[in-house]
Amino acid sequence: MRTKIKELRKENKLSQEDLALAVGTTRQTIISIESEKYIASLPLAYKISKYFNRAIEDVFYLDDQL
Amino acid sequence: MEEYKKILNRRRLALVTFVLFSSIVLLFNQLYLEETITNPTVHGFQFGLLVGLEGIAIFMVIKITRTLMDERKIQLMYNAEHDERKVYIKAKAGQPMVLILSSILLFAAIIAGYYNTTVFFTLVGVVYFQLTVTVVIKMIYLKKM
Repeated sequence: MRTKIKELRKENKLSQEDLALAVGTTRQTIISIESEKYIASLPLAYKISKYFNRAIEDVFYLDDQL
Repeated sequence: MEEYKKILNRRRLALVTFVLFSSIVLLFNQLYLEETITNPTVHGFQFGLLVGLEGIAIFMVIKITRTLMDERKIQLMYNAEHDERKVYIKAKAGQPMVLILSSILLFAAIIAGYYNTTVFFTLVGVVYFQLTVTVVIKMIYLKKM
């Protein structure tokens, strides 16, 4: 699972901790999702996408969609 | 978040009660040491365990008290406790069950210590091994995920 969180975060000048606080998770989890070590659950993916005002598929996508 | 603040306050109260109770037990143990002591090693272990638990409880009381003074810290603590990745890793390492089993084994070890030192050391060894394996597995998953 690939993600655009890092790019969106930089666009919005947001730190990992700020994003974690906003979506109810920890900075370590955001780091893991960004580095694609951990796949976010559907509720967390939804929260992150909603925070950036994007659809889930705009933030998270599968490798073969590249 | 108000509900979580209540939970933290209840947790702090429980910890303070534990600290007071264990202090009384430790004091009683010291005053009547000659009458209660049966095996110095077992007694030393029990004493050390209680002092250790009391130390952790005092640390937790200070941590909760500091957290309750700052809204951001409360939110961070709440997030850390409910973080899905941490919950997943804990479940993978079998932490919830290991902690329950270790507590039961430790309690059994303390009771057994009054009767048989070999059983006492065996049980403490099992607890030590169990906790070590859990910590190692948890660290591996923390690195992997």
